[in-house]
Amino acid sequence: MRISQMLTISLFLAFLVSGSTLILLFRSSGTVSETENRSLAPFPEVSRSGIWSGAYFRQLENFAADHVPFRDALVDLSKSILS
Amino acid sequence: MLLVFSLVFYAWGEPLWIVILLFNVFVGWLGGRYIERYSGRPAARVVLFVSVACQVLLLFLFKYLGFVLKTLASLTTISIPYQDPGLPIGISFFTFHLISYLVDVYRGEARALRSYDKLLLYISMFPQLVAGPIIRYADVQHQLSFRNVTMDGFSSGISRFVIGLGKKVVIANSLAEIAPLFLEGNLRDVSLLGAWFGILVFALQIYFDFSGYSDMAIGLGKMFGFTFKENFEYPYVSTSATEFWRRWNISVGRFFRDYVYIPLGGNRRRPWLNLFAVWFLTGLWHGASWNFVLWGLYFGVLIALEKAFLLRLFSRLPILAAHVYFGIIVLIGWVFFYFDSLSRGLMYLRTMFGMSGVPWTNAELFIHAQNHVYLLALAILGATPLPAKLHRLFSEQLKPRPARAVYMHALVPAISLALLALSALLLVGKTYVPFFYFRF
Repeated sequence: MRISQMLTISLFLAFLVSGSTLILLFRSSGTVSETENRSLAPFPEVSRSGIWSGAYFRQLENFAADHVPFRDALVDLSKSILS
Repeated sequence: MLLVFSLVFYAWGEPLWIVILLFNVFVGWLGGRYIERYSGRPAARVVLFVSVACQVLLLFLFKYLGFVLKTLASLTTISIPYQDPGLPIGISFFTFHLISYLVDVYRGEARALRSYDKLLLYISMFPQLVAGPIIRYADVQHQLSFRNVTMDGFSSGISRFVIGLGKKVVIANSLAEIAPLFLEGNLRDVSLLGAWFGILVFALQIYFDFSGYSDMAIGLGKMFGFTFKENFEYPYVSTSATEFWRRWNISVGRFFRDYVYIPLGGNRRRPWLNLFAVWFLTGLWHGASWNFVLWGLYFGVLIALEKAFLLRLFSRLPILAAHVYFGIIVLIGWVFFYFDSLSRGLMYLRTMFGMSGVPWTNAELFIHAQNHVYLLALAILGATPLPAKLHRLFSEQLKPRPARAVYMHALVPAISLALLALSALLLVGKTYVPFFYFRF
């Protein structure tokens, strides 16, 4: 077994595990984004039609994306990289 | 385990239409069993025909019925009320996988599967379910039963996945912000060189997008012990349309060759008709709209011309001439591909060839080209085999030896991680919705 393989695998898994732990532990609780002047996606309510049409899962994704920890800082960072 | 995960993955995006997936696989499974039972007898042919027709019919209902009715309504006065049922994710891919399975069993290139689960795994394998590549059943049948998850495969799969993610998120998504500035909006504002620039950006965008998805699928497959064939081989280094289709979306080209062109009689019987059928279908497969059909037929005509005399002509000229020829034809092709409105497409082509009286360049072109010069340079270099060649050179011949060890065992994993982190960061950044009127 080579070092490079070990390292690649452990870095990848570490990134996934730490990323998801951070998201679960430090979920930002705001409901409004000041910089964008919009309300953030709320935690979706379960409904039969929502589940069958797949809308529930999309709302869940939107909620997760809007409540990433340190979202404002990360957004700023990504903007500065892109420009 | 992988099967359960794949089904959950599919149900996540498509809770209802998973029924279609399960049903289609059931028809395929039953069809496969009976084809094998009747093998060698005419009945096998009947079962093959019925089960393939059933798959194609469902694909037609979901993907092409609306398109046919719309065309019908515009040509005649017949107007049939139609409500779009929505497109089950990946339906073109799973239909094609099932056709591949049924035909391979019919031809005796593969044994029919006894277990429904195993066929379902082949069809629903989550890395390739949504965006391909199309994997021939005969190529993976062995791996479905005996696959090996190895350390080597897992780690190289990760690298491959991360490269694909980077191609999609870092490069394709950024290019996707630039191309519409030239291709959307009022086409009269686009200069002649601006038109070439815009379609070039789109050409790079679609390559990085599509090949990025393929890389991710191949990488995920590798992590779980599957070996999929390559789907892209640096298509933009081609010197002809013929070569392009051997390097671009290889799996689809191979599918149409093996399951349409050759069964129709290949180049022995009615070769022109067969060629026409293949390119008509290849175009249509990319989307239910006439511009895709036009795009497919355009390549069909070019390939026929190349076969007739163009390739011989270019073999006598310097290689640069062939590259220039290919660059021009492929960019014209992307114009057909991009514009679903033919009149806008033709207008864009007129601009490209100086027939619409717009200036050669304008300030807008310079500003965008200058602002994105690094991204464009990265994309153009990244579309050639150069990065892969450099990597091979470094990992095999970098001297002194310790430098090579540092490159292999520290730098490459670190770059992988950095690319992964950067992609995740940009994905978070993409959820940002700029609010333009806020300050007014």
